[in-house]
Amino acid sequence: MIGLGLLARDPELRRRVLGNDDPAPKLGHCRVVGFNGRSTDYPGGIWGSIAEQLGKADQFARYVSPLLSAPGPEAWKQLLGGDPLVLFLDELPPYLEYAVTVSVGSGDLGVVTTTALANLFVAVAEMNNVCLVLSDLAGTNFSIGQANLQAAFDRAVQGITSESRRIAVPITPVNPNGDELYHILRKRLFENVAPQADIERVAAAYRDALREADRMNLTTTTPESLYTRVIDAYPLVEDEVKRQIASMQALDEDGEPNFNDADYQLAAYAAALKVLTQYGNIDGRDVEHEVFAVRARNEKSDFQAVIERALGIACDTLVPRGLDNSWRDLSLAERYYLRALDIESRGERRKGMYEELARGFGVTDIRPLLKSDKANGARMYTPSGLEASLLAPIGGGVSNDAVLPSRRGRAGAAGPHPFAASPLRHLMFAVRETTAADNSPEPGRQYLRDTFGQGYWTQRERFIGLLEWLAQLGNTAGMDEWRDDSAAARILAGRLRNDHA
Amino acid sequence: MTLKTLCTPRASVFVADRRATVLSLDTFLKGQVHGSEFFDENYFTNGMTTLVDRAFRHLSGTGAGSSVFLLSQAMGAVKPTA
Repeated sequence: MIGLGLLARDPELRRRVLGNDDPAPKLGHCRVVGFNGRSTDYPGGIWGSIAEQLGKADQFARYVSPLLSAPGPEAWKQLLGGDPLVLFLDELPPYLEYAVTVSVGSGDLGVVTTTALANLFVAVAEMNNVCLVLSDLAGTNFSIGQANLQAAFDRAVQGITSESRRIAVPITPVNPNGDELYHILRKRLFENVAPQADIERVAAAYRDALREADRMNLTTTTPESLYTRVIDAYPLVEDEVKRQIASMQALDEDGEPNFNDADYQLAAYAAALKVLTQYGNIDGRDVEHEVFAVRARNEKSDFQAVIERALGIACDTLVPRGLDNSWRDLSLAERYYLRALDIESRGERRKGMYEELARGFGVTDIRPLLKSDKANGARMYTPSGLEASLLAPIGGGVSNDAVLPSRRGRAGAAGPHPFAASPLRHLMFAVRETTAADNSPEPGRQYLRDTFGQGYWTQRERFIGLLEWLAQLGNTAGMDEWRDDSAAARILAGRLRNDHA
Repeated sequence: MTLKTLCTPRASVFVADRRATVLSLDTFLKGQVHGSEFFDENYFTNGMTTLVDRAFRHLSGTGAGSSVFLLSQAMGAVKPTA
């Protein structure tokens, strides 16, 4: 409204802003008047205010006092005639809603105003020098006012002689389904934004990160749609990510949390999602559903998964070398086992250190995992050492009693150990099967396919990464126990890599 | 590559007493809106382009264009399909 008003008033500005797109290059200065529906206390009402702005208050005096009465179409024509004129009526519904409460004669101001507006619409439809622009605040709470405005339109339609003429052209100032909102914010907030090439690089980085997440079966949002969305939303997404990272760094500087790269990556995902989830859906997919969908076959509550994830983020301190890519998909019990192997491979034998680590990961019962629990001879079980013990169906009836800190002390009260149902445990069993079959990988591969079903194909890359990590343990000094299982893990990894449906 | 190096915020963003991000019609009618600044900071949406085009066509007396426009905008909530 204001944009049109500015351009109407100032032909020079119009030429500068519209350039060659100026639809009326010969049009000079236009008069611009208006009424804001929030001005409910204006004594002369809508027409009194307009007449005054046009300098014709006297001409309309009889419609204003002693009682407000509705000008007819001819009166409007006389008032508005002459030079080109743009007339704004902003936020009318609140005014019309208020008007029904004001008595005028034996009726109310609502009736008078609705009649006056209907006559105005009739007049304007027959004039070549007037443009009338109304706003109606669709979707807000002025239903009575809306209805009155509609009534005025309906009445005007009946009064208009040229039947085919449409009474009002509907305009949606900002298209809510496109990227206009971003353009508006970008232009409003920034004098200059990054060159297109840089924006595309940022978007590509997000796309690649999402592609990775997609491969790990973490999300079903397509990387390409994120790429487009980021280009549209830049710099809003990046802003949110920066804010998230900065707040974590501030915590880190206090010494305590010591976040690692994986945490920052996760936080970046979270921040990006925070922006993206402001939309109800992306590419027709329900965002909330996608974010909270848990992909395990057997049900876990959404919140449980979120808590575990949050706990995981909080507990992580260091990622063993070579596990950066798999780390964020591992459960706490799995992370504990791998981290414990990591310290074992560096010669740590003090039981207290293994217990300390377990507290950090929220694992309360480590006895089934420790082969030797002598004070200075602590070691983790190897795949062959565990044999077929500590195995439970994937994701089936896993109790978190041994994981959630609030339940400490009641560990093992119900359900299997959290490590027993983890993919890593089953992967270790497949290694054990390979070792037992004299390094023939077939029984181990078959076991994984049977255990994970379709999930085998989506998690295969992950399995290979973990197997390769286990494969290098046997080469480490002091890890002789792992020699056979490490060799088996290497062979099984190779077999998985070359597996085809 | 950081936002700080790549993007330059407008000075007006930091003005503490900025009246409002949404200008009111009254401000405009009182002549308090500066034309060039307004268009520097505001994006021409498709809806605006249509409005400006059809309004000026009508006012130029060519017989084309339209004389009454109704701007509808559901702010804050998605408008139901009804």
